Amino acid sequence: MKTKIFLFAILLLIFSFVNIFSQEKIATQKDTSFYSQIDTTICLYLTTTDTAKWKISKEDSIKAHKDLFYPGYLNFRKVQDIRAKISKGRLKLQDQIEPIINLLEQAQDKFEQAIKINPINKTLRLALTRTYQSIEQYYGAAKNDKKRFYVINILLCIEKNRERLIYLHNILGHIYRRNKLWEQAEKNFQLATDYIFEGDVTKIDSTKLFNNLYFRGEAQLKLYKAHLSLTSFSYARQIAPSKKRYDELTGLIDYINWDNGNIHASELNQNIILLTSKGNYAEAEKRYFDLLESIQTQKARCITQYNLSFLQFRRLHKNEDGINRLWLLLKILTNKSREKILSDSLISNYWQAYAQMCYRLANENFNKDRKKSFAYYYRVTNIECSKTLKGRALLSMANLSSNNADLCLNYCDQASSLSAQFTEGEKKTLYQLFYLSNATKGNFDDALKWFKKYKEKPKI
Amino acid sequence: MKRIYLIFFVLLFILGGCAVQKEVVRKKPTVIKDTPAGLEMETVLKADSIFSTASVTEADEKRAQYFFEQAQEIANLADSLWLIKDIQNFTHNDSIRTFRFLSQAEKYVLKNFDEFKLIKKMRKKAGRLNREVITRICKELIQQTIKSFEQAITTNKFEYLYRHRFGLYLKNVAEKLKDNTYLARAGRELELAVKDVKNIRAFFSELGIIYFDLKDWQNSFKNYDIAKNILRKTTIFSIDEPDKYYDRLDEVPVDTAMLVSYLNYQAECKTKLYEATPALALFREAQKITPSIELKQIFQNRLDWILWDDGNIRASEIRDHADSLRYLKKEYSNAKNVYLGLLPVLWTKRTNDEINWSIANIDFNNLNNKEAGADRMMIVIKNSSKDSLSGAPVDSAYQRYFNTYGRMCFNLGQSFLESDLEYSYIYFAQAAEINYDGRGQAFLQLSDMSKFDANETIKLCQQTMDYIDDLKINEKKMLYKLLHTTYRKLGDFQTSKKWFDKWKDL
Repeated sequence: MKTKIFLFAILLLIFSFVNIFSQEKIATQKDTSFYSQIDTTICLYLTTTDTAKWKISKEDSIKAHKDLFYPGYLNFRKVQDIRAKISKGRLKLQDQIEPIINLLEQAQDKFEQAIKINPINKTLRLALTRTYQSIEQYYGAAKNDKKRFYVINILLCIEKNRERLIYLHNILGHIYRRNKLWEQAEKNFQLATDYIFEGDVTKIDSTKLFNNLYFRGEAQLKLYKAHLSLTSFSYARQIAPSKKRYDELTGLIDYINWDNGNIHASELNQNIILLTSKGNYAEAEKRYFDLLESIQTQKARCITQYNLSFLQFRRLHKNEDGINRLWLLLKILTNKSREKILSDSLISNYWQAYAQMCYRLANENFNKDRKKSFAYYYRVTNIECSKTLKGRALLSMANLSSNNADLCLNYCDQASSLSAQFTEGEKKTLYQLFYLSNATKGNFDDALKWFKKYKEKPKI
Repeated sequence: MKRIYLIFFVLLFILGGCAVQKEVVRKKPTVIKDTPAGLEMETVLKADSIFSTASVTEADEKRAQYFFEQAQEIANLADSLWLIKDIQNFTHNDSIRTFRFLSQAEKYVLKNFDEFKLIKKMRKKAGRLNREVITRICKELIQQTIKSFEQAITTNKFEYLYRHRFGLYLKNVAEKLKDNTYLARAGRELELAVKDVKNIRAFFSELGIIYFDLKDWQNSFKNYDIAKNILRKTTIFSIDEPDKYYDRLDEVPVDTAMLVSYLNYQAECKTKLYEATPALALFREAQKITPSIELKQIFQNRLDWILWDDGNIRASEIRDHADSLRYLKKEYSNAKNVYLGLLPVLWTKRTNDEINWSIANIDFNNLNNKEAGADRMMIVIKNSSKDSLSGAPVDSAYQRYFNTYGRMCFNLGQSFLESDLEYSYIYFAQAAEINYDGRGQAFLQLSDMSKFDANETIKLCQQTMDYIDDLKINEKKMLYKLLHTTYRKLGDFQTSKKWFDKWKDL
């Protein structure tokens, strides 16, 4: 029986791991439905130069021309007619795409049959090539990646023109990009870029180059090739056509550099930001813990710790966890024996956030645990934060120490020097404390001075 | 059963294994126990040390309030028992009430407190009360009250109300037990309260009363002065529309009754300190402020008392003492000695004359030293200013001395009528020389004594006629009869008849 139970346990364990892995696999699956088998014989017929080996009978030649080429040609003419009407504005291209594609597909079919009978006929070769070139564009307009992919692959076998090759690889790259096949996408954008640089470098089309570099960088980013992606984006940024594009690339470069090229971490961080913006704070917190596990640099770790502390304190009401996390982070950041991790301005912002947390906890405890409340206010007054916040903390400390007139007056004096941004209510409280403490001390003339201010109606 | 445990263990192992990695990551940051989140122990300790100089925790506040309420409860119980103790005719209902209070008291005094054994015995004999036992229980309850007050104050030293109430309670105990050590303790407690809180009038006025009761006049005056200052300076903080008085603070409407009370106590302190000038000023201020006619008169009396010897308060006190011996205790000889002792310390001739007059009166009326008394009065009258024509005193207040001296001489004259007519005549003649309220009788006596010399008699009778209104019916009859007989002797029957008719008319 014990053996059975042990086996059951092992099976359960295996099942749980298999389940985890299978889920991960499903998550990373790519869409390859647009792949289609290319008829390599067509490529062979179109690219062959050794015409001597083909022995074509006269009947076949006539048959190919009359029964296949000519009907195909007619279709081609019909397409030209429709195009002429579209250019004259009598028709709309969008409404005519399907009929055109049908005509061209019929023509393609005829031409392909014809070329198999007579592969050495130059007219036929040209007609088929032109048909492919034409139909590729209509497939693009019809967003039919599957058929376009097929045609582009045939065209890539026969095209020799550099500009055409740049175009075809670019289009193919985009098809792969759309279908999240990043490696193929990267390869095609890379080839397109290589063809661009093969030409006269003084006549490079910067828009084309920018696009290829941009999308190559994007594919590399998706493939977690941080260094390559950074290179692509940096190049692209140098020739950015607009400020918007420049800024976008700067953002992408920062994104990669967030954890020194640890794109997984950047991605997770981005994901958390999205979750937070949607209000899914509990899930965001879980992801933050995962992120902290995968982060490689101190800087990103510190920023993440700060963001997590902020989330815990502000959104999840885990005040103690939040403030403890931030305080431990600040201890690390201000440790003089360690090298500097974050900029001074950022650390200053963190101190401000910490001070605000302390102030909020102090306010929450004001009527529940005044000793604790006092400790938090005291903390606010001893750290680098805004003058107003310090002033407010001092005012509250004065309020809590109203039994000790000397101490209360001391805090009031300090608060008064930082009261420029106080609300009318806060100012009233300050004056009231001044007046009451002076009265308690028996300084009635001073008490009257503050009493007058306390009773003064606020200026509108 | 073992299988179930085993399955449970395996499942726990599997789930635990899955969870281990995540848990390590989600481990909470390490914090020091009992330290508020996000703060270091050093910060908390510093903050706490400052906080402890100004406040206590909510828990201590509650504990202190509990002790305070307990103190009040026990004090009320002790008061109730104390009142029962003094009931003369103890009824059955009183007995039931007593045992109810005693059963309540049992929880506050020590369990082994022997008195409760006695109470149990007493219970069997309801209706009979052992006052000594009740007193002892009350004293024990008082000690328990004091202990509870002390606990309240120790637990929350910032609640000044506790010290104030404690002070008042000790004052009450001092009165009850006639023990001034409690009063002194009350003073100490309130002194501690006012050390930090200098704007609560009641604290200072209570201190003023306590020191007054302890006859510490300086401190009593000082505390009333502070209370008065607080009243004057802080009233503006509690009135409606205070801004109306910002430019005329002296006109802020203060609590007059309170101010008059403070001034009165201050004036009394100064009186006790023999500082007449400030005492007079304070009484006059109180008299001016108070709207009460009765109080105005009381203050006037105090002013008169101080001014009796031109501000020589000690003299007024000695005089009061002597008066008390003379009038209340009827110890005339002692009173005379005190009066005699007072004479050298008097500042004014007026009071000197008054005291001599008192001594003379005691000598003449009570100690049977009539001649010494008359001699003393003679000096007083001799040295007093008189109107050159009438011989009346310039100071009308002296009239009573003239009256006294005149009566003394007249009485002495009468007392020598039987034994020594010459002496008697001299005294009557002396009395007749004095402008006093019985001068007519003196002249009448002289007239009567001179009846063998008709002309002299007529002359003296005419002088008597000047004071006819002062004479009684019998004296008038005597005068008219004397005139009738004297004129008849002289052969002037017409005039004699006139006086005879007058005599008969009466």
